Amino acid sequence: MDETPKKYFDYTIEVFVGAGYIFLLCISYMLCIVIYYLSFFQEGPAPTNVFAASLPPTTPTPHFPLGDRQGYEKLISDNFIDDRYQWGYQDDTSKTEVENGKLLIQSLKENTIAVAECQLCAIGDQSYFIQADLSTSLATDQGFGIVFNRLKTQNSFFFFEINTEARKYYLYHHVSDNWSLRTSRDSNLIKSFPSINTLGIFVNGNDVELYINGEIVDSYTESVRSFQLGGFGFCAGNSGFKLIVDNLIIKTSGK
Amino acid sequence: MNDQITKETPKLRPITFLAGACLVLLCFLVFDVTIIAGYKENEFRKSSTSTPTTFPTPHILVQEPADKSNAIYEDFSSNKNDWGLYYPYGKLQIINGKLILQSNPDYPFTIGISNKFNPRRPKYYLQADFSTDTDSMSSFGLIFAISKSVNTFYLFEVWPRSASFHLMKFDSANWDELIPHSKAELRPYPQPNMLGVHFDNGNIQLYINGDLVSTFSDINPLQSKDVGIFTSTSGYRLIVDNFFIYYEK
Repeated sequence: MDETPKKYFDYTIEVFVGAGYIFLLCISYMLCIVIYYLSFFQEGPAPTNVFAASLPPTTPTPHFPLGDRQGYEKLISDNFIDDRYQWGYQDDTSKTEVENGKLLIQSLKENTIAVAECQLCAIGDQSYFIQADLSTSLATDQGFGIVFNRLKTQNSFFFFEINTEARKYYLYHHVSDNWSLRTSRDSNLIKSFPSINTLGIFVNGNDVELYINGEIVDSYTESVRSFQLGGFGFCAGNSGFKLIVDNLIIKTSGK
Repeated sequence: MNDQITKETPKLRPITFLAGACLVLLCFLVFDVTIIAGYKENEFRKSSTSTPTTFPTPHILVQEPADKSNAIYEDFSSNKNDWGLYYPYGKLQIINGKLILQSNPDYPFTIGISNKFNPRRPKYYLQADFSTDTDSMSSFGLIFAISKSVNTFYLFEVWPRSASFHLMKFDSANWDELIPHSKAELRPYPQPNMLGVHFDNGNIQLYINGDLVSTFSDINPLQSKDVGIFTSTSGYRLIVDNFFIYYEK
């Protein structure tokens, strides 16, 4: 009896082709994963407050070149040999003298400031740097410093004050009878009595930089305000001592 | 008898090609889905890093005043309201339409206060937007019923990182926690959080982003009317905008 011959199927090629397809699938998956991770799964930039980028740096940066001072010309230099710039203030509670090569300012009334304003220092509306050596006749726990942006019509000014006993500095705004403190901090740069402290301010538009003994200690910005406007002078924060001022230098950008 | 085995010629069957084609299509499908999903996620991430500028203005007050003429608004376009420091340490500036307040490292906290911007009646509502320049763990808040002469005030303090708040009362040298630390929905950095307080003769309602989060009745209320803002530590700058006050007769 004839038997039907058994068929023998050889799937070798199909197995290879199938394995090839599966290999292709795996490669595609891996490619997808690689592209996905490289393109989208990377950590995005850390969220930031966009407005904060427009703020001044937290560490003040000096914009007035204390070293060579190029680009700034000396406008006024006063060693107080005489009262050529007419220092004074129109009130009866303070006393201003130019004596022995110094400017002396004294408050005659307790809890009242004494301001000596430069009447003939015409700076104009330009950025400027003021620097002077300040000391006191007696050891005092009261403050003293530089007055600027003094607008007579508004009865307002800014007062950069140091206290040599507390070794602190302050920036006040005064308008009418109100005082508003804008910045204050301890500073080891402040020397105690009887040492002389060299105070400086650099005024540029709505920015002001505060200097003590040749180093910047702080900066202050106030939108809309122009610190360049108005007069300047020196202030004793209370009665009981004389403020002694010497070696005044004012430099301007000439712009 | 011999078994006869026939060997068929190997050939690819159509079903093999069909399966292969399906696999290739599947590959393309997976690839496309991956790319689209990636783009969508990318867009979502970009939209989730919003900034304070996205906050809609003008604001709608949580509690509208009965008489709108008694509402006052501080946009910080200039320092016309004479904002300054309450204690002699820290720094307060008005820059580009916002109030910037920062503490000094050597001192515990800083308070900013205005000489002019305050409610003129004992019943009032105040509201402001707060954000920070860096992602800080520290707190900030609203100060109200400040008396400069006796040094007393209330403090509504929030911690955006831990999404919590409390209400404190400061009486010269003593802190009293009126509302203990509680959880609330606060927006994470860099988004602003709108804090509001309604004060009515010791009845205090606290609002965060328009929602009433807590109330408290002080039987011995502070009566002064000055208001301000608070930073707890140094290391960040508090940015305040859109300060509203209205007061009722």
